[in-house]
Amino acid sequence: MRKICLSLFVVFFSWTLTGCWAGRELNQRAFVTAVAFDLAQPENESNPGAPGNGRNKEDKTETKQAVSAQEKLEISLQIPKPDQVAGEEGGGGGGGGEKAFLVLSATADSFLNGVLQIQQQLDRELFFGHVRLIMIGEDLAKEVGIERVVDFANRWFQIQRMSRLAVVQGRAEEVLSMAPPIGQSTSAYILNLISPSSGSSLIYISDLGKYNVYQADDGIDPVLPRVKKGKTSIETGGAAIIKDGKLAGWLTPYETRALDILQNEYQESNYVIASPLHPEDLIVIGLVKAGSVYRIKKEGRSFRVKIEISGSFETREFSGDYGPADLEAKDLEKRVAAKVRQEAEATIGRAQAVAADIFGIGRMIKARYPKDWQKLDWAAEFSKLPIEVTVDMRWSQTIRRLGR
Amino acid sequence: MRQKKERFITIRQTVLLIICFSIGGGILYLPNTAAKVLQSGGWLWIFGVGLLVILSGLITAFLIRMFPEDTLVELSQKLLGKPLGIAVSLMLILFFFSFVPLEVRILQELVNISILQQAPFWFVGGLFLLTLAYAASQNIKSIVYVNELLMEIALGVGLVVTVLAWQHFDPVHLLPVFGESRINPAHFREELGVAYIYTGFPVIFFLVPYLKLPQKVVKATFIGTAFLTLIYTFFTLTVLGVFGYKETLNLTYPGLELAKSVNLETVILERLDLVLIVSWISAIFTTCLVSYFFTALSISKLCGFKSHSLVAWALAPLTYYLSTLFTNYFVWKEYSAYLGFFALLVTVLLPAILLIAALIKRRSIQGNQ
Repeated sequence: MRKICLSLFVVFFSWTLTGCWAGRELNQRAFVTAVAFDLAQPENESNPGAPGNGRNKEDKTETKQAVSAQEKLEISLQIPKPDQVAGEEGGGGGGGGEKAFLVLSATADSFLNGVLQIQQQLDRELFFGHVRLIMIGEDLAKEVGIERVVDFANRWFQIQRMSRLAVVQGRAEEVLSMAPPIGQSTSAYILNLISPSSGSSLIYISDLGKYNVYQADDGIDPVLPRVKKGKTSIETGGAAIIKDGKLAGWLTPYETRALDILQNEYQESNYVIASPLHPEDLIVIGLVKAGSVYRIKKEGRSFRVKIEISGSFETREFSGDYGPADLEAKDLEKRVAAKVRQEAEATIGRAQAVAADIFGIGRMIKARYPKDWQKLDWAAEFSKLPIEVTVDMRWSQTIRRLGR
Repeated sequence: MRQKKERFITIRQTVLLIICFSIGGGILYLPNTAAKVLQSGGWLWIFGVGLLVILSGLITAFLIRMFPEDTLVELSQKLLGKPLGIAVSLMLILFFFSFVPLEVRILQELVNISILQQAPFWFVGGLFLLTLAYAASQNIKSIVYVNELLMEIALGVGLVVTVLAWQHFDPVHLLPVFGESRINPAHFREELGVAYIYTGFPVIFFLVPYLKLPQKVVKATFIGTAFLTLIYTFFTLTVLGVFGYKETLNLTYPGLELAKSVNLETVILERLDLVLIVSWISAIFTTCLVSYFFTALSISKLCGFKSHSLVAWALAPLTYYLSTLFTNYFVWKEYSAYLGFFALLVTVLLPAILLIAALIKRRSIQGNQ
């Protein structure tokens, strides 16, 4: 009897060893790699296949249902075509320059309703565990806001906090449908462009997790990287300022670079400055290190902020007929400092103009003066907050060639 | 006459048993509770409760050092008489047992979140309980060794995730140090719920007859409870420092979200949350195993059974039924708060009463002599 029981026990447990329940084969799944959100366009709703809206009939299938006044979102999903991807990787080629991905769109009042519509025309189950990029169109970011859009991502366990968020200047779906110049997938291409591995400091690095933390915190407003459709390619650089969950304004690539310094997230970048010897000549310097320290001073009921930026640079290119040996270090340092300060002040001005504290000064005040913080109307206070910027730059790198 | 037990459990194994019983599913949502209680200073609250638990642990250890041959079942009857002693034993049995359905429910959620999304409770919870009943029907030696192995893996992974998350740590999130307001009385139940996560040391009530060096039980308890306090404080501090308390309040399992935030793109393992979940299932298993084993052992002792194996198997259907009562997050979160209240009774009040009874008894014996 004991042996029979034991045998039954072993047989029962061996059945569970596969660790599967409701398992689904890879070829039964459609892996979504990127999601784009736009504000639904009335003309598209009445005429889904209208030309000039950036849609490629071959790569993109429209699912338009009767649209009510409430339905606002146009949801686009990018899904790699497994046969195309495998073909190109194997050297066989997908054939005829066909895109290695598919973009499917739907218009709905919520993300999941959109997914439901798209799912109706796919024989594979949509899987969102590999979503690495969420792009939001400018109109939607301005009118509806980011919060409404990322709600599904925050509630769905499949989606990672590390998924990148970006605001598209223009329509997100158009960018998602563009073929990348290198590689097979737009999402992977954009992802590389707006990741720290891009090596560019003209972009702002953020993800869903960082956005959520900044959005939840008092005294700081989030910033998201900007993506836009160029004439022939996808362009990055610059950033979107988010205020109360909505797009409030844009930062240029150089202002974004200054923001990186002001948030102590700076990566190396080149600056072009006028030569101290001959103002018509240019010197390209590489700012290899930069960071900032905030000094907050309480004066009566108001506050005064001093931001001390410091860093080091090296000279990389001279347009004039001379080299580093001909320059006075102090003169060069002053010019570099002036350039960095000018960009920093422009960024601060831009943020104050839209009353968005993208530097987290309010958060610092809340931490140090919690009682004063409760009495502050920070948005109004920040716009007129006196912020002084000082910059100290050091020419500190080794030099390979002294003269011309 | 009672048989003399083999004494084989070392101090290290005692410490690990205390930790095993304490660290389960609760730590994954602990920072959320801490943030509710004291906002940005939530980690201080955890540390403060930890100090109280260390003190209670030491009182308990001093008490049981006086009775190195007895488990609580015998000790309480000696000190309080048979009826009260049985009542105390039943209370402790209930205390140990009450953790199992809750942990099984948390395990089900973790499995559904990331591994087997559609697996029903009868499959996940049922198999887990069968494994648990089988493991708990073994002798204490096996329990100790299994715990030793599994807990070290879970702790290792948990520590790696926590340390890696410091890449996102921002100290400004921890200010003001004492939170924005005083402790909120409206969150009284959450405050008590925090106590529940520390409740590992009552295992020594049953361990002392098996300890190699029973006189070292005070040292083992101190190390165990102090280690727990440090782990919980460090973990809560990290979560609050990474997310800030406002975002932490939005998260059901801040511990899991912490693992989801860790970026290891250049390393083979990109999804650290899955690694954490897999290893944390073993942490939940050890918590359940210890509580389940001591429940079965105490019942068998109380009823005078020779072996606890049958009790262990018999408890499985009851545990399964109780687990099914926790239909959603809000239900089991409320239950965990009540459990915290119960834990306070068992870990603070009970040892104090027993110690007073022991001291009175000792004095009366000395008086008679």
